Amino acid sequence: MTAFLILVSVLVPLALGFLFLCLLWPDSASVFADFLFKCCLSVGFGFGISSGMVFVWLLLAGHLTPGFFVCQWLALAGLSALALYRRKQHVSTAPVEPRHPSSGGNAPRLIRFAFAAALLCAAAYFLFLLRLAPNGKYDAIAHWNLEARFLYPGGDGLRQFSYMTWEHADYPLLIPASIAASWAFIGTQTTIVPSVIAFFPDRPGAYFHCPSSRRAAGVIGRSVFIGNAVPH
Amino acid sequence: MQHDRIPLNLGDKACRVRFGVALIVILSIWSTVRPMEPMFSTSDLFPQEDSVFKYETRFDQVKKYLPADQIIGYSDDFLSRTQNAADAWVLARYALAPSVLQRGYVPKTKQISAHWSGLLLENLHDPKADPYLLSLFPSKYFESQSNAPAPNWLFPTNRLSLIRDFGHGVRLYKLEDR
Repeated sequence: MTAFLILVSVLVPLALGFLFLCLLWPDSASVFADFLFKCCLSVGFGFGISSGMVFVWLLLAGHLTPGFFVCQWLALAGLSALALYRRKQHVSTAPVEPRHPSSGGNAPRLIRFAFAAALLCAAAYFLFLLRLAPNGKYDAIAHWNLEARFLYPGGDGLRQFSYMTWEHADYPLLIPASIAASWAFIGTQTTIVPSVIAFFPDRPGAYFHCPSSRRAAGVIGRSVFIGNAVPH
Repeated sequence: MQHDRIPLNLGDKACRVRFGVALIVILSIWSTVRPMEPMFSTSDLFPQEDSVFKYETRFDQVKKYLPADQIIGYSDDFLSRTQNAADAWVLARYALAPSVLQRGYVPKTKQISAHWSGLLLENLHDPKADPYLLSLFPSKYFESQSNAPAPNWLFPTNRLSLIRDFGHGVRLYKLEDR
């Protein structure tokens, strides 16, 4: 049951990011157009939107209450409706364009193989590191998870948070807020949540260098990026 | 007669693209496989217990004594620390969050002073009593020390009254006003 709740708590922000991207995407004929690329970008967008909501909610309510998750689901429903509406509008107004032959997933086999190999290696190594250090290494303990522990509890967590001396402004609070929101959703503080979130690539900016219309470049970017995503 | 093999001509655009793709593929796989080296050299792929979890348990009892809305003074016996290596201060903050610790016994700012509890937490380490500490901290932390509090954060012993000794080097004091 806990595993299911963790999955839901992580998938909801990702879905938020995905739907938000669908609204911005120039080719709105299908929600699934450039699906993999959108999925990769939705990690950053999703956790960004969700953690932004956490801070607004903390300012309003003081701590993470069930109301936050109601808002999150409402936002998800709203974005779904907008994405569907936009798609309908596009279908009724835009002429049918034949898809570019190269965008049908004809990336060279070598690149696909490299991506799959890099993904498998990264996943195996990630699980190995996780087994060695379930709490993570220095940055996880000194920054990310520590800050999440301040944001998670009920009571006056946010005020206690302000007592801390902030020496590292280069560690933004988006990741801790995402972890705290997941903990609040499942109702317990477990190291599995930061581990699951850590598995997602932490440098989505790398993708912005990959032209979206060129699938091959996107796949290369992903395989290079997976290499970068191995936790330090 | 047509040639089956295309000669490597870097002046040709298609050839340059193939070369670039191959380079990226090799680099991406290499950058992922290379960090996996410890996976194949370690003898303990499945360690039984994590030292950080063990370290957290030393604060289980003292947690109940720490006020949630006030700041607590802190001192430990690690004179030196290595950059980006776990140290007692980092792990104590991690274990005791959301209680807020501040090194030393003097509030650093006016805001901290307003929420100062007057409680002081001492966190001393003895690897003989707790051998797992040796796997958690660099061994040089335990050299030339005999569990003496760090001079920079030394508590004024003449103004301390012990609230409780929780064992494993964890003690909670109240700082008496003069």
